[in-house]
Amino acid sequence: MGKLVGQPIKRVEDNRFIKGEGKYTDDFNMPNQTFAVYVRSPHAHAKINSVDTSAAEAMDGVVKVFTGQDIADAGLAGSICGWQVDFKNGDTMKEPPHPIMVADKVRHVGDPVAMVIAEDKYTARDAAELVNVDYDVLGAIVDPKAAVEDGAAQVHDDVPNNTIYDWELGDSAATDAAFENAHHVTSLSYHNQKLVPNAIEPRAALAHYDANEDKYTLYSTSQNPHLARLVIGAFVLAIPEHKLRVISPDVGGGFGSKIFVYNDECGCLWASKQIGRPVKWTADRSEAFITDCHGRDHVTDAQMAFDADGNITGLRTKTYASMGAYLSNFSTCVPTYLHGTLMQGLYTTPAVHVDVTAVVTNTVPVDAYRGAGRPEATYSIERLMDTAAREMGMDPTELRRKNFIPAFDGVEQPGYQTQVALQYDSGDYETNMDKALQVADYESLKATRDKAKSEGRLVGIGFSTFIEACGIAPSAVVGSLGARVGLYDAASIRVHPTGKVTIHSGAHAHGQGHETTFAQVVADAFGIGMDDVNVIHGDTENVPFGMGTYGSRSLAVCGSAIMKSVDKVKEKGARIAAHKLECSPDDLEFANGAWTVKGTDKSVGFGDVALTAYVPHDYPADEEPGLDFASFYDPANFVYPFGTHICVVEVDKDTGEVDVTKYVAVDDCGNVINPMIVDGQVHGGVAQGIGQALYEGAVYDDDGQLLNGSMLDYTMPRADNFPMFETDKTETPCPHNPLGVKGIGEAGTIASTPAVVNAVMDALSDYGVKDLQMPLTPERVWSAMNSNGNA
Amino acid sequence: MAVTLQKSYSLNLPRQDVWDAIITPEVLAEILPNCKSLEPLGDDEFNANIEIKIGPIKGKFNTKLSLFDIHEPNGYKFKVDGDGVKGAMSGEGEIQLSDHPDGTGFTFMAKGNVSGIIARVGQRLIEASGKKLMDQGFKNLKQKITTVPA
Repeated sequence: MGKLVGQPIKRVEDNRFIKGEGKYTDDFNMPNQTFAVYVRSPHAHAKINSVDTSAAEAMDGVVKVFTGQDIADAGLAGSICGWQVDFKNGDTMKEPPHPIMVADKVRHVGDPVAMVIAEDKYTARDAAELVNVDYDVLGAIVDPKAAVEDGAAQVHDDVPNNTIYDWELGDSAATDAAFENAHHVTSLSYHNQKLVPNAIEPRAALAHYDANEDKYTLYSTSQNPHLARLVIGAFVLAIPEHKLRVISPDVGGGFGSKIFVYNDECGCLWASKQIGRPVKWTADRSEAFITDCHGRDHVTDAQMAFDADGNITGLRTKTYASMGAYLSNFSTCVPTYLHGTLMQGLYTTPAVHVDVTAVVTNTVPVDAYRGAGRPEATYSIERLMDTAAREMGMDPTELRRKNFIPAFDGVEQPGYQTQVALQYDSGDYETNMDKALQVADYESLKATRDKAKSEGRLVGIGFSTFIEACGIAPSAVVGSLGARVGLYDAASIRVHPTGKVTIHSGAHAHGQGHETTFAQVVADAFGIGMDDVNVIHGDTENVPFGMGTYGSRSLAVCGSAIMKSVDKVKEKGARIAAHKLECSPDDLEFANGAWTVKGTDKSVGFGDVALTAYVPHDYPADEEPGLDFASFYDPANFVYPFGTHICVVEVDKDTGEVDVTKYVAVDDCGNVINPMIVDGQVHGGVAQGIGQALYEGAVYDDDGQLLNGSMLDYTMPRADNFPMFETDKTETPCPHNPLGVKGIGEAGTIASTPAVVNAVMDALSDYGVKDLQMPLTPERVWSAMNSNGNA
Repeated sequence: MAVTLQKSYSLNLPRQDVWDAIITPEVLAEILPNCKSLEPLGDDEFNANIEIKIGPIKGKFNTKLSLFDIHEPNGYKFKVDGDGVKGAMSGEGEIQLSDHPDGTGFTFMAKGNVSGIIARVGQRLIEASGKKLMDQGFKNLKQKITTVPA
C-alpha cells in the first residue's frame, strides 16, 4: 500500500457533480443548431401502409422531416451486432437488419418511423404529432419461450421461429449421466425478468457536419466513444475515422445501456449532413423506457444433481433468452459467453451443461445491463444452492463449504479450469465466506430468526456466494468465440516539463471515479501528489483508442495500460537520471519521487528529470526528448472477483411485504485502490440487485405494450427500502495484471438478487412455498403464503 | 393492453325517446364525451375527433366509429378505431336498452385495446378514466333528452 493507493480518498470529480456543474451532452450547444424528435411506433408489431409528413412539413419552424423510406433510399444499414454466435449445427447466426428508421414494419413499441427537425424542440414535438402513420396492426410475440413455437408471430421474415441461434456449452452426456445417478435433484424454473436500466441522464446527441472540413462531430452519451466512432464510421454511416470525432462528456450513468451504438444518435449525424446544420436530440424519460436497451429477460429451467453426501455432481440449465426486436451490439454474447461460462460458480461441479436459445420478440432490444449474463448465471446457481440445502436438510453454508473449489493463488497453484471454458485466476472462497459469517454473526442471526419464527414473525436468511468473470477480455480468446472487436484498452501518460502529469485514458468514466482512482495509482507510482495528476477521457481526438468502460474492466484493463505507460516513463526517466548522476540506470532505484544511486544519498527528483527531458541541454546522446508514452494492454485472462453476500429479510405476514433488515457484502476484488469507491460501487450494485429481486421488471401485455413505461409505474428501489449495507473485504490479488486488481462495478448486482430471494424463501419455509417469481411484490408473496392450504 | 368497460344506468323516460337520441348523429355528437366533431361517412359510419385525457396524458384521436346490428329500440353494437400521437385505440362494444322499473335501462359495454403512451403511462388510470367517461356520456345523454325535469 502506498501513500494514496488503498486510501479512501474522496472523489475529485464530485466537486463538480454535487454542485450541479457537471457538463452533459444536453448542456452543449452549437450555433444554428436544430432540434430533432423521433416519431415512434405505438404498436409492438405493425405493417406501415403510409407515412404522411405533409402537415408536419407545412408547420412554421419545421426544417425537415425524414422517414424510414429516406433511410432506405440512402442505402444505410443501421446499427450492427458485434458478436457472432452460431447455431449448434454450425449454421450462421441469424442477423436481421436494424435500420435507423423503419420503412416497412415496426417491431416494437418505440421503433422509429420518422424524424422531425425544427428550429426549436417544442415545434419539433408539436410537428411530430402531425406525422400521420397508417398501420396495419399485426399479432405480437413477447414471451421468449413461446417465440420459438410454430405459429408464433414472426418478428423478422427471415428468422424462422424467431430463433437467432441455439447454443450449448459443457459436456451434455456426462451431465445427463450425473443426473441419472443422482441421489438428489433440485429443480427450479423461473423468468429472470426484463429490466429497464433507467440511467438518470437520458441518451442524447448533438451532431454536426462541417462541410468545410468534410468532418463530423458527435457529442453523445456513450460509455465508449472510440467504439462508437469505430461502429458508426466503419459500419453505420461509412465515415472515414479521421473525419469523425466522438465526444462523451460527463455521462449520468450507463449501467451498460450506453455501451451500445444506437440508431437514434446515428440518425442525428446523418441528418446533420443532409440539412447542413447541427442536430440536437435528447430523449425524454418515456422515450428512454422504450428505446434504451433493456436487460435480462431469460426464461430458464435449472437443475442441480447431488450425491448422498451433498456433493454437487451435475448442473444443467436450459434458457430462452430474448434479444428484443433487433440484435443490439453485444446482445448475442450476453446469454452465452457472459452467462454459460459462469455456470460452474465457486464449486467443483464435475459436469455442467448449458443450453441457450436466443430469440427475437416484439419488445425493446435487450443487451448488457450491469452484470450482463453473470447475474442470470449466479441467480441460477445460488437459488439452486439454498433450495437444495433446504430440501436436503443442510445448512446452506455447509453445503457450500462442502463444494467450494479449494484456495489457489494462480502463482504457486495453477488457475482453476472449469467445465465451461473459463480458467479462474485466483480465489479463496471459503475464507471469504467465513469472513462474511463472522461479520454477519451468523450464529446469532440464526438464533434471531428462529426466535422470531417461534413468535410468529417471518424472518429469513439468504446467501449468495458468487464469482464473476470481468475485466473483459483477452482479444484472442473473445475473437475465437465470435467477438468482432478486440477488448484491450489504452492509456497514455504525458509528463509535463514541470513534473505534472496528464493521463489520457481510453476508458470513459460515468460514475466509476476514474479521475480519482487513476490519479491515485499514478501519483503513487511517481511519488507526486494527487493534485499533480489530471485525467482526461471521453474525446476520440484526445485519448488513445480504448475500448471503453463496461464489464468491470476499467482498472483491470485500462489501469494496466496506465501501468505500462508508467513503467515506460520510469525506464526512460532512469536513463535520464543516470545521465545526470553519471551512473548506470541499473545502479538506480526509484522511491519517494526520486531516483537514487543505490547505497548513496545521490539522487535526482522526478520533476528534475521531467524538466531535463523537455530542456535537453545536458542530455543522453541517443535519447529522444520528452516524457510521453502511450500503451495498449490486452489482458492475459479475465479477472474473477468473488464474494459472499448475506441478506436478512422480514416478511409481513398480513401484507406479504418484504423488508430487507440486514445486508452484509464481503467482496474480494483483489487489491483495493480506493475502498470508498469500492464501497460505493458495491452499494449501488446491491441496490440494483435488490431492485430486481423485489421491485423492478418491465411488464408487457400480450400485444407487446409496455405497461409500466414511466416512473409512476416502474418501481425503482429507493434509499428508504434498504438497511445500512455492511461491507467488508478479503483481498486475493489477481496474478496476471500489474495492479493485482479484479473488478467491482457489477459484483453487487450479480450477487445480491439471489441472496434476497433466498432470504424470502427461508422466511416462508414453513409455508411450503417452493418458488416465487421476481419481483417479489407483496401481492405475489401474500398469494403464495395464502395458497397451499395456508390461508 | 386490453380494457373492459361495463356499466348500467337507468332513465326515467320511455325507451323510444332514449333510442331516438342515441341513433341521431347530431345528438350522438353531443353525447360522446369530449367529441370535437362527428362527421357522417355514410352507412352508420362516422369520423369522430375526440380529445381524451387520462391521468397525465392528453391527446387527440382521429376515430372511426361504425354502428352495426342495429335493433330498434333495443340497442346496437359499435366499433371504434382511433389513432393519435399518444397512441392508438380500437374496440367493440354494445349499447343495450331494456325495460326498467324507472323507465328505461341503459347498459354500456365495451372491450378494447389501447397502445402507445396511454398504455405505458396511463394503464393504471385507464379503467377509472373509462368509468368517468361513461358517466359523463350518460350525464350528457340525460341532459340532452330530459326536456322536462323529472
